[in-house]
Amino acid sequence: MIAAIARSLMALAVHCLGERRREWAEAMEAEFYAAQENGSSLGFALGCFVAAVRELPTHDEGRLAIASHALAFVLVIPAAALLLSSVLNGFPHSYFGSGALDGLTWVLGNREPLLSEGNRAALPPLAILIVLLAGARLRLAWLMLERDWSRGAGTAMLLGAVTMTLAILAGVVFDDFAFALGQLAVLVVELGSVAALAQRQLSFAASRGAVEK
Amino acid sequence: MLLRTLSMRPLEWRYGYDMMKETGLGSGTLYPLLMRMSDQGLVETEWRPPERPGRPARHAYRLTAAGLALARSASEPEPRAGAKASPL
Repeated sequence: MIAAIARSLMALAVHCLGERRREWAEAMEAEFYAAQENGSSLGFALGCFVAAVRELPTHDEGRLAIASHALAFVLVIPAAALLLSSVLNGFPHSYFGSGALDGLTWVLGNREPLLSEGNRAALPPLAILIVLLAGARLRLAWLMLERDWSRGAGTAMLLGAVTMTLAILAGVVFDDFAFALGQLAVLVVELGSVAALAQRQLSFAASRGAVEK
Repeated sequence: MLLRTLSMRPLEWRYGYDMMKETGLGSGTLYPLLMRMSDQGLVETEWRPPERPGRPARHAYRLTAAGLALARSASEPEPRAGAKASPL
């Protein structure tokens, strides 16, 4: 168990050091065998991991990795978790009994809200769309961390399409665009940040390629 | 401490794990120091063939002439109290 943890930490350290410090990563891996023979592999691997993490902000590739992880763990994954938890807690079915519609009717005066027992059938597809949206967000987070921008672009397009469909459907069913506008705002921030990161990664890769030539 | 250890036998190539044992530094301190010293041209590195079959090649280190000069200047005695310190 300890050996497996030590090996995992070493693998993470090597990953964090990136291309710029490839030689040092291989040097650490080679010494890891010596540490293993002396029974101090975990301490050695932990030290290497800490050193590698502390190296991250000192180079472009590392700063990009920090930004990708921050975006994934602060915005994309929490947004997906919020959607999933809302479905698990009964949304959009709970919207019927929440009193929100009474308020809406009062605000709109004589206008009839479109939500009625008649269009209750629209709720299951709405719930499926929300789950799909959460799934697309989790996939986008994964691809971002993998720095697979070409597949990330496809997932971003799917995310955009599902969000637009959800926005239109939710707006029509609830006659309330607050939910849809919230989702669109999150989508704009997400996709803008992902595009900026992808652009940075591509320009970084191009400049590295030019240096290597 | 690392400079002193490396300057003891300056022509000898040393491995990271051996230096950890010799200096008492952890890998989280030793490797960043070695990386910086290598970036600044104070330490030279070389891949040495594995000592046993099935093991990877090992990265070895020793001081460059600049590193040795720095180690020697660092090991000189401190100026006495009251003496004007050099700005360099």
